[in-house]
Amino acid sequence: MDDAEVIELSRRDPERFTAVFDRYGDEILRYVHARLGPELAQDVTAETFLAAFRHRDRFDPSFGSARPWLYGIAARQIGKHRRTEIRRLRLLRSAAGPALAEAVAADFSARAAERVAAEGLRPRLAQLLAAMQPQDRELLLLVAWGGLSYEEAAAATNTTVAAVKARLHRIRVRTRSELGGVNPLAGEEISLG
Amino acid sequence: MDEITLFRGLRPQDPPDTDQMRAAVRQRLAGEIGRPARRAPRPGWFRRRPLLLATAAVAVAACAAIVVPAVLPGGGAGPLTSGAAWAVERHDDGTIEVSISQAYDAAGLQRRLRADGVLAYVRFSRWIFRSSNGSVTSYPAEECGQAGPSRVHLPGNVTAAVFPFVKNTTDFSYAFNIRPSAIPKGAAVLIEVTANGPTGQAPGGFDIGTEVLANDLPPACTPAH
Repeated sequence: MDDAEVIELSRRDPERFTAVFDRYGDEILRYVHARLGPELAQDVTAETFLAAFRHRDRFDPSFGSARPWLYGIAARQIGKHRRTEIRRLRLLRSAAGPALAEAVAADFSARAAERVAAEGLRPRLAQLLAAMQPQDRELLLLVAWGGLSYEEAAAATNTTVAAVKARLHRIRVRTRSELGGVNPLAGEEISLG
Repeated sequence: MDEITLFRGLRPQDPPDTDQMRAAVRQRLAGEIGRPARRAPRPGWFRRRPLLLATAAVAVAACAAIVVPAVLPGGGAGPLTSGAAWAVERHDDGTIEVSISQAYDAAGLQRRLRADGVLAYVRFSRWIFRSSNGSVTSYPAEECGQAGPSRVHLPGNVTAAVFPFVKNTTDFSYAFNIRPSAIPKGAAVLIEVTANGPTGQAPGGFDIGTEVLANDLPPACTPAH
């Protein structure tokens, strides 16, 4: 039974909605934890699913999966705690952690020098993220941290796939520019001409 | 390597054990689900508060009389759709609201904003698609980023102050606000509206990109005047 069917059934039998939480609760909880930290993760996740339950009649069954819809609700709940998130990003500028290097390694079978370079970018990237327009940061993190596809991100942010691509393109260009005009890890520059 | 991947690496590590938190959330959700639905407001509410509603209506009317902006539709019937291409409204708080219905007459919108005191560069374009390393990507034609040193943008917090509101939605409602007083001295704004072109994308969508440029040199991709 797909999410749309579960949500449809929950309109007559509310208890059914707990199945939606069982499917996505852990994933959303981890995402909110990444965005806002342990102090707010539980409350914001609860508010996300409570809002989803109260407004389940607004779910568009044509999409099938409730995943982007839930991420969209989570994003709005997270947006209420923007100051907390910015404070966390400032901490990330200096916090040591292997996540960045691991991501590079997973993506590219990166060599040791590349991992070092990636870790060295952490403060600059965190600074860029903190200074981004909220809607750009939201989209970027839905894709980069939430793992949403362009189609899912478009559904989550109530926009078009084309708009998602355009905005991510601008974020790429700006990031490249902020990092000195080239991507220091790629060893190549994609022509835009 | 995609720049998005770099940001993926910034994600803080997951908590080692989420079972307790998840159980607490589930319990709270189950409590809400098991609660009887809230009663709808009684229909007599409006009838019993005529004075309050009348007062509210007068207040709304008064506000409207003060805030009514000058709406100046611009552009003309363009090649993409029909009707006015854009409209500019100046609000009492000093912000300027721009609504876009067609990606047409960029020069006209540029002139209109400059007449309102905003040194703006406006660019309307369509999509092009390129294949890079086997993956198809899409981006606006004639990327303004290739325009050389004129495309030096200011940090995101400046952009957020200058453009406090940008709306890109699937209901074909596209608008943004400009706060002229937040534009740093000597800076200019760049507005890029990208329309879905005849490339297999669903028609009718736009993306509005907004930036604050560090200087007033014209980007190569925008109208000269």
